[in-house]
Amino acid sequence: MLTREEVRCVRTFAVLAGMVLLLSGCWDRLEIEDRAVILGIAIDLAESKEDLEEEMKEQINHSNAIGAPDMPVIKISAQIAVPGRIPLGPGESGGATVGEKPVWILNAKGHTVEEAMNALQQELADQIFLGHLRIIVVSEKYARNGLGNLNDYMRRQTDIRRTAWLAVSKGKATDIIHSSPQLERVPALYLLAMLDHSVDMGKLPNEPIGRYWIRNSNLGQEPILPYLVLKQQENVQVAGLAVFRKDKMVGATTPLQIGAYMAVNGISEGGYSFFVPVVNSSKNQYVLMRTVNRDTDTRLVFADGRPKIIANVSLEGNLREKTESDSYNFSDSSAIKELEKKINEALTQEVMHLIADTKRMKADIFGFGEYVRALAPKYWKEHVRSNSRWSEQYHSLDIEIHINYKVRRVGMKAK
Amino acid sequence: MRLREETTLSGIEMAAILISTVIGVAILPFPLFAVRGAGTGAGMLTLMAIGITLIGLLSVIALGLRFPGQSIIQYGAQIIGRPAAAMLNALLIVFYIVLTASAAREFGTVVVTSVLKQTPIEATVIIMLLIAAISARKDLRTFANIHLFYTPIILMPVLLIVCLSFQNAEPLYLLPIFDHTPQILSSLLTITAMFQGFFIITLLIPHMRQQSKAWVSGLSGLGVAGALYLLIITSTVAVFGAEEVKELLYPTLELAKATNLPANIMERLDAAFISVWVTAVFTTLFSNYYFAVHALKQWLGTRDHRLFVFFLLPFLMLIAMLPENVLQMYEGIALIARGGFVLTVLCPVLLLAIAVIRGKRGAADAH
Repeated sequence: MLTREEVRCVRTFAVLAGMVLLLSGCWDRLEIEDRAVILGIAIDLAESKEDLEEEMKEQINHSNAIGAPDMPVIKISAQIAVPGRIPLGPGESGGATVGEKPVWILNAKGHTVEEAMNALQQELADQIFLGHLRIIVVSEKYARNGLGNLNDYMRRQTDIRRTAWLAVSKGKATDIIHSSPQLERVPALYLLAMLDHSVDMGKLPNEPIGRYWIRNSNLGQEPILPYLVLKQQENVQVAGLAVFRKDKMVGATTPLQIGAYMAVNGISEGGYSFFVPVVNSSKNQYVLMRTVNRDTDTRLVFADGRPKIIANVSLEGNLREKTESDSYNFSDSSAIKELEKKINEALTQEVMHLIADTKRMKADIFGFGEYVRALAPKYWKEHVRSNSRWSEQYHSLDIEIHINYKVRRVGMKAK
Repeated sequence: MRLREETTLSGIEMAAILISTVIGVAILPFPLFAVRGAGTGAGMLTLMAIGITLIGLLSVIALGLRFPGQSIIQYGAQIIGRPAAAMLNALLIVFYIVLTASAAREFGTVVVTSVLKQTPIEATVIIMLLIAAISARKDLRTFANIHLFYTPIILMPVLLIVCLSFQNAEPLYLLPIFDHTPQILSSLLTITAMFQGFFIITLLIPHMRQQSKAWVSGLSGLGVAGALYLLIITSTVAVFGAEEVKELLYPTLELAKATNLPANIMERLDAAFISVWVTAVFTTLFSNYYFAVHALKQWLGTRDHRLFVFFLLPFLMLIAMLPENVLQMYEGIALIARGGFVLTVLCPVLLLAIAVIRGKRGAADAH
C-alpha cells in the first residue's frame, strides 16, 4: 500500500506530466532554421512566350480538367534570408564571408499571387514565412492591371505586417529588389532603409501597405505608393508617387511633386528644395529654398450648393543657396518679405499644377473627399455615396490653395 | 463536510468581477459588428448598447435588493409562480451553457486562425474549458480572488495599446458621429450581448458585505468595462476609418498589429495583445461556467455545485463543436445575442415591474 504522501507525490507528478504535454504547443513547433524567411518580393507580369507556356505545363494549382482564371500570368521573385549569413552588425563576424550571398533568390509563376507562392513552396524545402516580409515591389505594368488580387492575398495572411512597404517600379520589379548596392549586403533591407530614411528626411509620406489599404477602402480618397526607378549604379531612386484609383495605377508624379503633395496634406518634416526666381529670371538670378516644416489647415465650404476646399498651407524654410554671389543680397527682413511673396506665387503654381494632374487622373490622392464625407454627410449621402462618383466629382472640384511661406534662416552667410 | 464559513464580497471585488467578465472574447471582432451596423456612428452605437445594458443592470440590482439573500433563480418563483419560474430558470441555465460553449469556440477559432495554425481547434477549446472547469469547482472566495487579480492585468495592456494607437489616428475618420445602415438594429443587439456578462451580479449580490453597495460597484464595473469598449471602438475607427474596418475580421487585433512601441522596442503589439486577450477570455468563460453550475445548484436545491462541473463539460464541448465554419459560428453567436437580450435585459425589467405591481418582496431577515 502506498502512503498518503506517496499518493500525493504520484498525483502531483501526473499533473505536471499532463501539463508538459498539454501546454507546450507541440503542433505548431517550427524551428527557425526550418523556415524560409522571405524579406522581399517582386512581382512582374510574365511576358515572354516561354514563360507562359512553361507555367501552363507545370500545373501546380490548376489542371486542364478544372481550368484556371483567365488572368495574366505573374512572375514573383522572392528574397529568402539564408540562416547564419544575415549580417547582424557592422563587423564581418557573424556575417557572410566574401562571395557568399546572404540571400537566396527564387522565382515562381502563377495566375495569382497565392498560386505563385504555392509554386515557390513546391520547390523549397522549408516552410515559407512571411512575418519578416518588409518590402513588396510590383512593376508598373502589374500595378496598372490592378492590385486587387495581391491585396486580397496580403489581407488574408496573418503574418504580414501592416508596416511593410509596397512600392511600384518603373521597369521590372525584379531588377529593383535585387539591385545590390554597396552599402548594405541584403538588397531588400537596403531598399527598406532607403524608404524609411526618405520618410525621416521628409522626402516621402509614410504610406506603407497598411495605409495603402486604408486609403483604398476610404470612399473619398485614393491611394499612393512610392514610385521607384533603377539607376545605372545599381541604385534606386524615389522617382515620385504612383497614383492609384481603386487598386489600379493611373499615373505617377515627379519627385518634386511629392513635396507639393506633402505640403497640401501638411505632412511635417519638409525635405524638398526648389528654385525661386528672385530678381530677373532671364539673368539666372535664382535662390534655392528648402522647406523644413509643413502645416495645413483644410476647410470645407459650400458655394452655390457645391463643395469647395480651401487649404491654408503654412510652410517654413531656409535659404540654401543663390545662383550668384553678390548681385542681389538678403541683408534685411524686407528683402525676405519680398522673397516670401515670390515663393508663395511659385509654390501656388506648383501645387495647382499637381492638383490639375490628379484631377485629370480623377484620383483624389489628397483625401478632400473625406472632408466632404465627414463634414457634410447630408451632401455626401445625396450626391456622392460611392467612391467612383466621388472620382467624377473630384474632376471638377473647386480647390483654393493659400500658401504662406516663412523664410526663417539663411545659413551661415551674412548677406 | 466541514462547515462552510460565509464568504462576503467587498465592493471592489464586485466591480472587478463585473469588469473582467464583461471584457471577453468579443473585444476582437466587435468593431466590425459596430461598424457594419452604424458606419462611423459605431461609437454612438456602442454607447447605446451600454445604455440598454444599464437598464438591465439596474433592474437586476433593484431585484437583488428587493429580495435580499436571493438570486434570480430563487426569487423568480415568488414573483411569477413556480411553473413560469421553472421555465425561466431552465432557459437561463441552457443559455449560459450555450454562451460558455460559444465563447470557448470563438476563442479556439481566433487562436487557430491567427496564432496556432497547426493545432487542432479541439485541443485549444478543451484546454480552455478544462481550466474554466477546474476553477469553477472552487468556492466564491477563489472566484473573487481570481477576478480581482486578473482585472488590472487585462485593463492595463489594453489601455496602453489603445493609447499608443492614437498616434496613428485621423480624427476625420470619426465623423459623422451619427450614421446608420439598414442593419443597425441587429448590430445593436449583437453589441449589447457583449455586455451581458453583467448578469452574474444576480448571483453575487446576496454575498455582498454591504448589499447597498451593489449600486456603486455595479455602475462602476459596467462604467469601466464600457469605457474600455468605447476607447477600443474609437481608436479602431480613428486609425482605420469605417470602410477599412469593414474589411477586417478582427479589427482590434489588427489595431495591435499596426501599433508599435516607440523607439522600435516592439514593432507590432499583436502578440502582446493576444496573450492579454487569452486572460480576458478565461475570466469571462470562468464567470459563465460558474453561473451555470451555481444556477443549477440553486435551482435543484443541492448542497454542492461541484458535481455539476464535470457533468456539464462534455455538453459544452459538444455545443462548441457544432458550428461547421467560422461564418456559421458568427451567425450562431448573433442568434445567442438575441436570446441574451431577452433573458438578461427584458426579463429582469419585466420581473421587476411584476414584483412592484404585485407588491412582492423578500423577507428582510433572509440573509
